[in-house]
Amino acid sequence: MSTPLLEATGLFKSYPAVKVLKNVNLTVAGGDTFAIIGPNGAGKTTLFKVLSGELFPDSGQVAHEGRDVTTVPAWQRVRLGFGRSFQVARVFSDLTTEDNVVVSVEAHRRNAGLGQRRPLAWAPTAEVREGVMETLREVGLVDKRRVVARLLSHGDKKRLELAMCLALQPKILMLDEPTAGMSPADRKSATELLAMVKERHGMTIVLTEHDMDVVFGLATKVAVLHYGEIVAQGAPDAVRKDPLVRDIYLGHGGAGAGHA
Amino acid sequence: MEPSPAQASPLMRFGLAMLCMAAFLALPGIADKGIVFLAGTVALQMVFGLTWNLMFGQTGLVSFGHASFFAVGGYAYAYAARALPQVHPLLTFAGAGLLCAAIAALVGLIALRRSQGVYFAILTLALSQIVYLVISSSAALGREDGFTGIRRPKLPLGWTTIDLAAGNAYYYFIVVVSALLAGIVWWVTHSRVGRVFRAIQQDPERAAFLGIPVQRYRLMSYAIASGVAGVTGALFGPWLQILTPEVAHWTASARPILYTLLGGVHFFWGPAVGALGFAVLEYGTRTLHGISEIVTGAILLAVVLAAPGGILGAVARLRQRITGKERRP
Repeated sequence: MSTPLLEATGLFKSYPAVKVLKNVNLTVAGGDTFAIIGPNGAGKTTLFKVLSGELFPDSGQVAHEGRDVTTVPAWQRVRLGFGRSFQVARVFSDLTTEDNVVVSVEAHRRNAGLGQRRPLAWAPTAEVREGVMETLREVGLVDKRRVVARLLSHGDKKRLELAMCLALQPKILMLDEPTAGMSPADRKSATELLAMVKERHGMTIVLTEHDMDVVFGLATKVAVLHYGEIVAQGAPDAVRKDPLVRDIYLGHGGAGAGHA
Repeated sequence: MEPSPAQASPLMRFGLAMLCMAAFLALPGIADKGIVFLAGTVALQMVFGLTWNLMFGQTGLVSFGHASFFAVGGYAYAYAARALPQVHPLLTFAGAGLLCAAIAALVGLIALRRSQGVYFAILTLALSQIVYLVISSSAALGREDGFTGIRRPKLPLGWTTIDLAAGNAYYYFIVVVSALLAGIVWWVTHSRVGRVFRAIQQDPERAAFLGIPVQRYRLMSYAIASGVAGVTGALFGPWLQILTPEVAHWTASARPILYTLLGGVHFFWGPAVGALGFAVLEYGTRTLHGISEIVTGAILLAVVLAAPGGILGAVARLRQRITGKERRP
């Protein structure tokens, strides 16, 4: 437990006109469900991209189990156990639901060094199919396995993307706004699904989220990002009581759920 | 990639492919020499088209210089067969393909590194111009006059030796090897590797976040397509018995693109069907001196505008309409 699973120290990231991240430090321990919250424009997505390897920071370090992974590209981080979803679900829209997961399972098997018994067979092997069905069952998409992904509903695309991540058997599951754009009912079922997934696999989850019900329903640790700085970090209850956080979210004038 | 409801079953598609090959094999018995010559060329162009779409339709790479590999393969075979006649011709053919794959791997290492889309297309176009210039100014390759006297080799098979120069032997050889090459491209497309290609074509970033080394697979697609294209070029030399720099011209690189648009980019066999259709068009308009290109171009334009999915796209839609009607009570 001494080495944190994921640790960011002194992260800075600027786009030409704006400083997005200003000295961000955070520590994710194994088993955490770590939520990064903050008003729009606070830099959540940028931080998320830096942590997952889509972007590299201008300075600072990202360490995974004590190893510097700051400039390790995304596909290699996946091999270290990172799995990631996007704010707007990204799936292979011209493939069927099933084939999307097949690609993912096969990528995982290849990276894990699991060979194929009949190297010339073109169809997915029995082991792959089994893994695919199991994953689809877990997210509840078995009935839609033959549907071309582009025809899935928004919520189902999110589920499919989660399935693709789960198929990688990640140690850290990174979810960028897992319930963005969902109806309250979908949001609830997505939260339940994530809680279930977490319980079954026990992986560490890092997520950004807007919806406070989702955050406080799932997170074991919360970090609040405000204008590119972490202004509070800790257990959900402590963060919720933090006067500065209340200020940011509620504002003096009571301006609602804060727009930066 | 598969508009599934309207597609023929795998068995039916395999049957159609076999039927097509049987038609090719039966052709010398019913058609004159001119047609047979054309058919041999078309068989090679069909495979050539398939290799281009392995990059474009499957992996999302646009090459404007695919003919450079056809040319390099052709000239490499012709040169090697003359310099080293003792080597088994199958090895020389394979060697020409491997050379092309190796060149593509080297070029791709640089060209695919930072550039995708139109930049890669332009780089491949530049490469094809270099190949064109090198060939047309190289004395060893016959300059503008072409590399002449490329022989159809004798093919030792252990128990017997087939003289490919005799009768229609080389034609049958082309058809059989083309079928094999098409089989290789089919296998790559439908295998695990092909699934990765398709994933990259649709969303490279998502693929990377599944742990897929996107650049490596793009390179692989480019190398495989170029290698197989090189073998089709190698086969073409002895067929025509002369190679001119024209085979590396950019208009030759435009052909697989036209085949693909005509046949249907979303279908594996699209470019092959397109090559066949294109040949029929060219043959049909061959007597219209001076305006044959205009007529061919106009018909192509009409097909692409009227049927954006190409010939196979139109067939699929037709099937859908028919089966849709049948299902109605």
